[in-house]
Amino acid sequence: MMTARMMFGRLVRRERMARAIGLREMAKKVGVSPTYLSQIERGEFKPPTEDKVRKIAEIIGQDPDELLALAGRVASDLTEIIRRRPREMADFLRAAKGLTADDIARFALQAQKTKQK
Amino acid sequence: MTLRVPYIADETIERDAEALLEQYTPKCMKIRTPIPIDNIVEKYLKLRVEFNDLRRLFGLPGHREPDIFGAIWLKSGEIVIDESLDPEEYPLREERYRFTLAHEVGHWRLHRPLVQDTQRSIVVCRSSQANERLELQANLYASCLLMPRKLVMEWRDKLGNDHPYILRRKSFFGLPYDMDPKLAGVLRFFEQSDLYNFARPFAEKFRVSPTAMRIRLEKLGLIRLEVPRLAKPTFGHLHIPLPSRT
Repeated sequence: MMTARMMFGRLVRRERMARAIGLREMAKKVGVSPTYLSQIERGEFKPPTEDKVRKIAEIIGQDPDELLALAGRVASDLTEIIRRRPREMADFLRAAKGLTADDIARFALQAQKTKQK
Repeated sequence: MTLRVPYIADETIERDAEALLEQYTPKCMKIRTPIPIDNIVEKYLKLRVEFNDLRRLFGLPGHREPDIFGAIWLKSGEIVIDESLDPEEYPLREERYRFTLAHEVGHWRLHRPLVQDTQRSIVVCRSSQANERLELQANLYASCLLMPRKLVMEWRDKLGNDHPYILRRKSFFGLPYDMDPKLAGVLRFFEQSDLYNFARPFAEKFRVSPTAMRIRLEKLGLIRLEVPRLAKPTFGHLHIPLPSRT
């Protein structure tokens, strides 16, 4: 069975190679050793910390939130938002669960407008 | 299963390494030292490189000194270098890492046809098998790729030495070389350090180990073990000045 970790690793390797970025080159940019990057790409290790995942996302041109989700991590700003309004935010997210991506996008726009008023 | 490895002439190996460098280098550009082996492997040949614990991968018992340095999957083009050679974690192993990578390129260019119709696809490179034909060919390939003849000759001129460096002295302070074994031992020690000093500035330019450089210099006739017979040395004394290190 393919774990999320393995999916994360495969995606990173595939996108890195598609962009012709060398292993050492990428490791240097992310700030890890090539050995560690190899382990991540094989899915042997938990994906790295949030800032490193963000850096990887930037290098291989992926959406940071999606890559973080694949890495099994929640962006620290989201954790903070929920922590400040735990009950309302939880209710809000639970209510939104099951909606289509389009619906959610519409709600997000609505929320944006409401804030600007 | 052992592979039948045909003889390949040294010149053929060197010619292929030179052709690869030429293909890699953009037109109107000149390849420079150190040879960008990472880019040649990953960006030009598009082989996949990763680091792993090779002894664990192949289920071999642990030793303190690593014996396996690299492996290549000839059918899929995947190279695995042993973690002990990670040049970012162990900067002193940079030269070894580069040579191993170039050695795997040798397998890729020379030995792919050998496995085409077989079940086998992996070549594991162990120091204990360094004298097998397969490994010797890959080593020569690596040597030609990382230290191309033309560039070595250019550096020879720049480093200011146009005579081959003669290693073995016929005598020392007038004493014959093989007079007594103890003296011979001492002389051999000097030989080694002379050789090291001679090869080192080259080794630094090409980012290879002094040993790999020495072997290449010998191969190119820039180091000779002895004054060739019949050839009259053009110098008056035994020692040729070492190249300056600028």
